[in-house]
Amino acid sequence: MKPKQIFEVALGVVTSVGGFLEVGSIATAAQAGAMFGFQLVWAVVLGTLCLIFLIEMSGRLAAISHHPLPAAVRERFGFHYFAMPLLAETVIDLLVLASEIGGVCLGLQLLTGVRFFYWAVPVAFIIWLLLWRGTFSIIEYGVSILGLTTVVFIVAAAKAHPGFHNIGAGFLPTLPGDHKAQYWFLAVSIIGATISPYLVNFYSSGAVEDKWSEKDLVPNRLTAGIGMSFGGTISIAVLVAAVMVFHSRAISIDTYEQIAMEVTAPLGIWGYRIFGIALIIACFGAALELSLDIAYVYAQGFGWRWSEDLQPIEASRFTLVYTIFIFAGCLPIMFGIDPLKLTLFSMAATALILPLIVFPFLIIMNDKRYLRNHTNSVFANAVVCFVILLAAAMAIVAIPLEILGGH
Amino acid sequence: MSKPQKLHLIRDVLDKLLVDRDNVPLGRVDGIVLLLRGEQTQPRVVQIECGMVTLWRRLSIRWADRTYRIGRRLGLRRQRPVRVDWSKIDNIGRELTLDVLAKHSPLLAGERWLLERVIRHIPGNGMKKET
Repeated sequence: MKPKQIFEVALGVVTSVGGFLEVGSIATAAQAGAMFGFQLVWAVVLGTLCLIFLIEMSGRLAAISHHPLPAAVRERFGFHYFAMPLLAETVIDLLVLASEIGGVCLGLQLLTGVRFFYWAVPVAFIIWLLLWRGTFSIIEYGVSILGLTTVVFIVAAAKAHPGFHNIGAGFLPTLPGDHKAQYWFLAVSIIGATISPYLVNFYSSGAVEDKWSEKDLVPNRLTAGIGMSFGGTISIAVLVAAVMVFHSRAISIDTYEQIAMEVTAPLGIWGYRIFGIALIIACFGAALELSLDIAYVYAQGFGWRWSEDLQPIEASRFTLVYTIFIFAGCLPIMFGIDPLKLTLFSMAATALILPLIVFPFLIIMNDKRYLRNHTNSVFANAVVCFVILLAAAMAIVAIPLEILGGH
Repeated sequence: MSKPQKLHLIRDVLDKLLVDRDNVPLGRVDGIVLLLRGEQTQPRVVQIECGMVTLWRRLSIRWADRTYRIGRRLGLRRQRPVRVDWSKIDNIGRELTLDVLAKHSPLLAGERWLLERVIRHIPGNGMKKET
């Protein structure tokens, strides 16, 4: 690799790490650690492994075929099929966007003491303003690099001395004695939070925006592998810190604000402040990516002009989509819906729609008309199929049980 | 002009991206208009069609007609799909290139309407001030 490519990989890894953690991964990992100790580490590992494959595939699709994923799905499967993931992504992205806005508002509540719902409209306005005036590089690099503040969870977990053999034991699935329904619901939520379809779409659209070609395949593979592995490590750190602070003292997490204790207990008042800042930055970055993603999906699916680097007057429909979504996304938080419950539900619902998005993606990734000699290996197909089917099956069973209040 | 001798209409034309001479996206092929000139002759492709009504009709004709009627009652005048003559297609490849320019094309009427009525009134839209 040339020095320029090494720099690009390093930048890609940093942005992947900074952009990995968001409201869903923090909430689900913390809740899992508090309730079930190290028993759900395997769900983070499984989700991260599948995400590595999916991210690498979406970058490869963009580099070889120059098609972002939604455009390829519409062309390959027609509008009849495209309408289904479009509808599903619209609903789920809106729920997740509301959760992310809720995360930013909670971070602001932690730092200022002003209740979270007062922040919903100002936060939505700032997200919109940055998309309206900003460029793709500002969003991709600026916010993601600031997202490295989430490394504070690794520091907090390390300071709590959890013991590596305990974490290692969590890599193998084991069933809890009771609260089985909640165990499976959390496992599904963790996988849903980790394999967010918006990350895959955003990555492929970004690769098309950056005009990737065949020479970018190796940097793509390294960015996906190293970046997502580090991101998964931070998620595990959130879970481990929750075990040490909550599970060991038999404290349950009922509100999002409690999660701050994970960092406050080992690092003191500065830990509390850094947690607030990290939560704001991580959720703000994810909200930007989600808003852009839904605009990408509509614009690419319907063949409109799209690019975050275009001025609003050059891509009116593209800008209209994210404008509507941002302001619709702030409504649930403005009306005071509990961000923690909203987040956990959104993440589990994400797992439910994964097959709709991932299976056509796999078919395209095995189509020589799009990928030429760079189609998927049998191993990559098998790993992704296994994880997605497992997550969907768990979601079908666990979501109704959780809603009915099963144990 | 480059059109393959043999075309698979569903695979090579329907849902494909339409671009103008300068590669500016104009939309997607939402429908194909065929002409039948008698029972003994093969149907001929005469036009392609773009518009939300066409897309709706592909999902459900009944729902598309209902949506169209509701739209008319609400005063939406730009619902009719735009038809483009087959002869205007210059090239069929990864995209379908039309022998038109985006700024004059009726395919972008919705985009222009939105620009004039909404986007240009919001500050910071990238429009240069006239001197």
